[in-house]
Amino acid sequence: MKKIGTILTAASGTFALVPGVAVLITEVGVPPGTSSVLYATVMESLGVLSLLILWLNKDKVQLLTVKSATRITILLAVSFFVFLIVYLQLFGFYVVSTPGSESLLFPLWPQGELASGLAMYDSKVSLIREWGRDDVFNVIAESSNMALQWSKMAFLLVYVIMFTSLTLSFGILGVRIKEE
Amino acid sequence: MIFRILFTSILFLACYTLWSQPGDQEMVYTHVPIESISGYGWEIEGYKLRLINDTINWESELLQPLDVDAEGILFGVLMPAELASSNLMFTCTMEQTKKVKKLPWKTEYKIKERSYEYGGVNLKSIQLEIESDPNGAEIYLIPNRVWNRDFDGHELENKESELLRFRVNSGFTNTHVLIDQTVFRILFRFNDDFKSIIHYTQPQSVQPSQKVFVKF
Repeated sequence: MKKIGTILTAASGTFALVPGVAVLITEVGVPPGTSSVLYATVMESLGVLSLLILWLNKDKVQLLTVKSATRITILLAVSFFVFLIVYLQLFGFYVVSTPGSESLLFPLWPQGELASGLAMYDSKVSLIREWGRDDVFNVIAESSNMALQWSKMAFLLVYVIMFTSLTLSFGILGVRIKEE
Repeated sequence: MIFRILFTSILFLACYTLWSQPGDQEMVYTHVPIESISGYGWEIEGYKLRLINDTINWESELLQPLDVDAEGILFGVLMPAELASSNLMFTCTMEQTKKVKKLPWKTEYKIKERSYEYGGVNLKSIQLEIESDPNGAEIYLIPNRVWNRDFDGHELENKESELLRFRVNSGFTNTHVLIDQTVFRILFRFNDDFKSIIHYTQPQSVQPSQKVFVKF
């Protein structure tokens, strides 16, 4: 049983470190115009921090009943799936790919000329077709810059919560099983 | 004999210097969008683009915006084609003036000038050939967004001054301009006859050089 515990602890360490490195190298899931270094750094830091907190409280975790440990783990695993779905939805809805050039990230709350353009053309794809990719990029930067920055933060928050949930779920199981 | 050789050499040098003046360089017209920044109490006289390094020292004339709103500024600039295609970073400055009293207790004023640095500007890189039959048509390059907002459904004769701001000043057709991936409404004017076409710009990676043509 202790061996499984060690494997799960190692898995939690992997989930704390590997996604950050993978993001840094492949930029997978990072919205356009956002720093992959920022994503990787935040993910690595929070992953390691959550494991350290878990390690600090290992005595309390080891005292958890099997039922409680299972419940927390399932809750964290469900939280991972929920945030994964939220992230995929956000990405699919607000990141519009433009063949031949870099994709465009739209803010969650369009303002000014961008909002009126979206209202006029009904969809982001139509707006890009009628105004051109670079003109839309400039209008986003000029009319909705603050909303765009907040949107990037929302993307990062969901992304980080998603992986931290997974790290914690494996970590709790690892620490708890080691005890048995 | 010596004087004749000397005179011929000087004449040759003078001709060569005149021939190689910047005025003879091929010029290209392009649009530059920048962020709108307040003048902080200073009057905005215009904008300038500069490219200064060890070998180049180029400065645009004072540029007036084509399109201004609270969100951004668009201006058109005519520059040597060689510099425009160099991929070098240009710097943009806002040229400002302010009327200040010469001395606090006097009523005489003087004009203070300053340049506010915007930072680096990357120029467009898609070449658009604009041609017409017959040649010699005036060209107006208007982003489709601005066209729909300010010109669509209006009599163009009543919008003369607004239209003039978008005139491509690198000459008449046939000519070429540098653009980014913006959809443009290109207006041709020949003997007060207007023709317009919409150009859906392709990405540079797909088509680095594109062409529009109109027949009057």
